[in-house]
Amino acid sequence: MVAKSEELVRELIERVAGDIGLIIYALNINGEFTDEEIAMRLGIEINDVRRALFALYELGLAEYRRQKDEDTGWMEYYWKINYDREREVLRRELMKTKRKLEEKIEKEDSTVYYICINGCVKISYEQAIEMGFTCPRCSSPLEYLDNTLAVEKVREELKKIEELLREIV
Amino acid sequence: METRDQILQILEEKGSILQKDLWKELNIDSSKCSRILRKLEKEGLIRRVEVVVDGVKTFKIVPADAEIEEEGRELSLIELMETMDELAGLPPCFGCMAFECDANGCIKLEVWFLRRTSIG
Repeated sequence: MVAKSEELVRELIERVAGDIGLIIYALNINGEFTDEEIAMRLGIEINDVRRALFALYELGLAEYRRQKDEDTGWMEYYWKINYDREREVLRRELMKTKRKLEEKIEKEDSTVYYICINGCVKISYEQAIEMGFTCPRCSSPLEYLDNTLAVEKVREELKKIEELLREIV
Repeated sequence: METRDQILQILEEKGSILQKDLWKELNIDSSKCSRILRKLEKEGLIRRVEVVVDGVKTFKIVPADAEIEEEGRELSLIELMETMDELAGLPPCFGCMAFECDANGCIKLEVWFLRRTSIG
């Protein structure tokens, strides 16, 4: 299951810090480095490097300290990738996803939805009555949306996430 | 002038600014900037709208009373489903950096969900 969690970490980094975030993370640098060093090494714009590093920081996978460069007087950022926080961050994201899916399912289970036949809007039965079962956007009829299959699929997804959470300790 | 007043002044002049540009413009670090912005948002002076720029999430800072063009507001659900290809796999919540969110008010999660219904 190690492979699966590695895959998930990659997916997570790609979503938050993009391809450049992934590349920086894959460099496996254990000590400190500056954004400038990475930009030089990879031959990419320093602003892109910074953006990706700050995204990794927001995710919890990078940290930095600032120090004034005595020669230039500029603030220099010394970065470090927190490889040891990988599992913790992954768990946090999976837990959050699980919580949000549970909220979604609860709402879907307790609400009857109608959808425009052209797929413009999805609204509750109560709102649909108010609108006379007519789409507020295109004036086409609204029809009942059967969400049972989707809710079932989300439940399966939830089970998978719970399984992953048990495996990633 | 205090940083918070500078931020409000910038918003008055420009209408909106990306958070990632704001802290650079003010020459402060990103965490300080985000701290001040959270405070201003709590005070009801500004709003932070999540946006994606070059594939990376950031916030667009707007005055609290500004009309917000929510992502996809003009598009129908079907059109959104066609444009949001990335919503095929894991739920969008995985890796979402929104500070606080309502799962049932999230258009991305809605599109992800609808892909699993018969219309998806």
